[in-house]
Amino acid sequence: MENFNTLDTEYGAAHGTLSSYIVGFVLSIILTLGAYMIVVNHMFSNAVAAGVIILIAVTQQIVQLICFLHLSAKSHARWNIIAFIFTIVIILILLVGSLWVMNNLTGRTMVPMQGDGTVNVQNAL
Amino acid sequence: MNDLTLHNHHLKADARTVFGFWIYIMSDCFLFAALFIVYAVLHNNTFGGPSAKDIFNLPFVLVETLILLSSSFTYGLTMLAVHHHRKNTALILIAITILLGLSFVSLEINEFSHLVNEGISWTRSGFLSAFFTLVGTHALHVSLGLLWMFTLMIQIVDRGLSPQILRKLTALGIFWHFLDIIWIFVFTVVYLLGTL
Amino acid sequence: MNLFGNLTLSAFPHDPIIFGATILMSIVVIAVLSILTVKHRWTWLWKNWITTVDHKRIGIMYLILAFVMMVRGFIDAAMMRGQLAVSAGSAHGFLPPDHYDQVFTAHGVIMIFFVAMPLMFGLINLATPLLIGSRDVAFPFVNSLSLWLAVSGALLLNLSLSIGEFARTGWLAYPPLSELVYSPGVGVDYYIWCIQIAGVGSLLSGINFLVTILRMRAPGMTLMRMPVFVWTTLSAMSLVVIVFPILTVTLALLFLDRFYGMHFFSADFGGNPMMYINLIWSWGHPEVYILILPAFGIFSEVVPVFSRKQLFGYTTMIWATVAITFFSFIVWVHHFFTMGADANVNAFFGIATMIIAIPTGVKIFNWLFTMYRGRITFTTPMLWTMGFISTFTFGGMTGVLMAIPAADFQLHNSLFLIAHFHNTIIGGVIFGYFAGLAYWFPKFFGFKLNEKYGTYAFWCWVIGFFVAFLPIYIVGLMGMTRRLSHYDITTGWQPFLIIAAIGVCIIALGGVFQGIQLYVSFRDRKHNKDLTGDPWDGRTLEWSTSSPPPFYNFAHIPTVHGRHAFWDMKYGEAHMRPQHSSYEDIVMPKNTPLGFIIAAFALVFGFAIVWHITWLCAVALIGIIASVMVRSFDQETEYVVSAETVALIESRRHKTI
Repeated sequence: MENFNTLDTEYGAAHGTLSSYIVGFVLSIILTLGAYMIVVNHMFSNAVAAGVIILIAVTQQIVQLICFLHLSAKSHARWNIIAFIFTIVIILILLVGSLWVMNNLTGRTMVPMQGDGTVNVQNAL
Repeated sequence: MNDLTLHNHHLKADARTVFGFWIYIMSDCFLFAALFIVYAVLHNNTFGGPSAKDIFNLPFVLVETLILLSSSFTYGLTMLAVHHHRKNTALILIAITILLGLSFVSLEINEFSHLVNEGISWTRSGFLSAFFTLVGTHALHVSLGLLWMFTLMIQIVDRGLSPQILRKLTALGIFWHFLDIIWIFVFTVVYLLGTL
Repeated sequence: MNLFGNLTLSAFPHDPIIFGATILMSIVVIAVLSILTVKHRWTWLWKNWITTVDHKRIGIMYLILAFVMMVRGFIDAAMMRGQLAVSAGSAHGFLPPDHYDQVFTAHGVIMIFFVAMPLMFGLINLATPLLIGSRDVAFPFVNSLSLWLAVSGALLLNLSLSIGEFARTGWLAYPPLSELVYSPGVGVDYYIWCIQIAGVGSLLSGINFLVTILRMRAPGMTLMRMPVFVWTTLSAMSLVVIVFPILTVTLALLFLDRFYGMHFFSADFGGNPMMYINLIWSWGHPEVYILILPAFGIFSEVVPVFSRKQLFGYTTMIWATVAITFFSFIVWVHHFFTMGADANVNAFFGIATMIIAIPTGVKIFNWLFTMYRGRITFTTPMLWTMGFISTFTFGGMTGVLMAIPAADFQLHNSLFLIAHFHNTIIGGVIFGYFAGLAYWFPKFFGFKLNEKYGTYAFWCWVIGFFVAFLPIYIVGLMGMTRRLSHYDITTGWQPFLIIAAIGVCIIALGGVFQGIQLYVSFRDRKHNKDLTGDPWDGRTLEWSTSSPPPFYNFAHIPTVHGRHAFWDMKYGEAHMRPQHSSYEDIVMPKNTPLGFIIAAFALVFGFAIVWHITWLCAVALIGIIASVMVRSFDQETEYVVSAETVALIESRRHKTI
């Protein structure tokens, strides 16, 4: 029988233990339901709720990365981590930059529209 | 060539494949990032049509979310079974994962056809184009993952649990867990923020 | 259901120029096929080239693709310059406006996607595994797939010449012009799918080389011992992996707009055309660094070898590369300063753009200081490098000029911009890859290129470039906008445009000299043979093996002790010389036709979707999925080369030295 454990050390993304999967699953359910409850029950004002549920989503992402994808700072997984962090940084740059640019353009160049889609020339001028 | 060198050669090659797959996943993150940017820019452009608030059915989406999350969990259990060389347990768990994935996709198809039947299709507004494309791209990924999972299931039945299968299952696992992580953000950004 | 979708006889050419081009292309294709048949070369072609997974052969095929497409792209350029030289006032030239629009679109698409990218991937394929002391790339099958996808994309583009039309939208196909309402023909669909197919190939190559460089270096080669070319390739490939998915998404959304009536970029129904421009440039700006960074790497290899000094400031070179890679993500807005963002946005991106000139300047000074007090030999690779340094610095300066938003409001979309980016792409990218070709040519073909004709070609290119593009800068400042096919005689532009056309002729002469150079070098190959495998007294590992290298590259994987791995072996302490008495078995990947087959299906898919032939789309998609599955079930993807075979090949080499 092949020894799969040597493969784990080489792969970087090793398999976890039963407990890590269960912890990840339970935490994910709690976080999902938590975010859902916040929205359905209108627990906060819209701005606060938006911030909180995005925070919850990021937390759940980290939980799954650790418990399901077993991302850790072990030496053989170093490049996986570096690639991931680099990815997140660039995505944030593109996301923030694009939204900044696009909202700025929309605010300055798009003709304001009314609900029915017709152009309100008075406002535009 | 002696067995040990050959074994080491394969070990390194397999590790490379899994690492290469991780890099592919990173590039897929950018694909979804671009779609999220598009959604974020267009989400208010309803052009007089229905807005996010009007069309989303949150309890329905919560069920979808929990199903996909469970499939991610059962896939993890599959990997544990494979590591313990329990072929039959692994096959049963994969079958459960496929079933969960299939129900996720069919629920999504259900949601889409429901909307289209009400005349709320992707041609109505920029917002709806972005919504259908973002969620549809995720569903397409899940479907491809299911096809792949099915292929590997056949290979396990056919050849048993070999290191090659472990390599492929590891790569698919990264893909499957990654799709669940993407869905967290679809659920949060599209559905929860949309109904806020 | 219509069997041929939207394809009717009217799609075939009626215009005499296009008809002539179609006939010419068919004659060339028929001639090549007949030669292959007469010489019984089909099996040879299939076994040695089409199904190969050897990175060296794949690299050579990339270069062939690049040069074939360069001929077409250059003819497009010559047609545009010819048209503009004559079409003033009452004369309207030989190109009708709608054809002229297709020509400038095709020229841009071809030169970036099917000349510059294949040149880059060709050289990276040839050099990278040898530079890091590896026997192949990480995923040889994927490598073959990438190549054939690039070929499929190029074929689809060329099909548009004969069947239907190409886009008339400019090389980035800005909406709303590229939307179905304003471009109802198949041109934009051809545009979308030829880039999508080739783009998937580029993405796969990016992943492949990233893993190759990070995981397959020879023992002892730490990151800070990697040759600079490997570093710049690593940076360029990470850019590929990051931005090509964005390009794929952007074009896919444009396709959805056109095909399914969605409203991403349409002018009404809540679409936003400006978002396309934002997205395409968040790919497009890093793309220019994808092209230029490997060229920077080539110069960093060439300059030390021909100055007989080690590279000045290796560490700063690496950090400059990394800085350029990072900054390339925060400058994309400088392509659309005039779109209407406020001063804060424009100022931010303008300053970021100027900052990127600093690491680039660091590189220029590093090359200059390497040459300073070196014993320079003026071989063709060195000539191209020096031509690059002067030309590229010039182009870089005009770029910094346009990075000032206020100045850009005057220069945007003028021919000044056209002159600027040709200045950096010809003077930087093309000169760089020519330097690399001349430098590595003996390694892959076993003989050196003729220096005399190489020098002639170099001078024609440099002089021709300035004769062609300095007038373009001037008419740009005089107010001539890009993509004009006709202008008024009173503008006073015509003399400059005639000079520019003469410049194109000089560049063409350079191309002719390069053809002669290839022919003469091949004719005299027995005299300029490279028997040692080290014709330039090189420093890096690729020169330690024979020329051309055996298919396994290295009989023994070298151990690296410093930055100049091969130099140390040659001139370092005795213990660094590898002493090997026996050979070992080597595991190598098997050839496979599946890369070729999948790409062929992709081409069929592209053609079918352009013409809305539904059943053919389905067939092609099923074909792709089935081929991938066949590959997944294949267990015998490698074979063992016995130690005896290796010994035989190596002893044959030692006898010739």
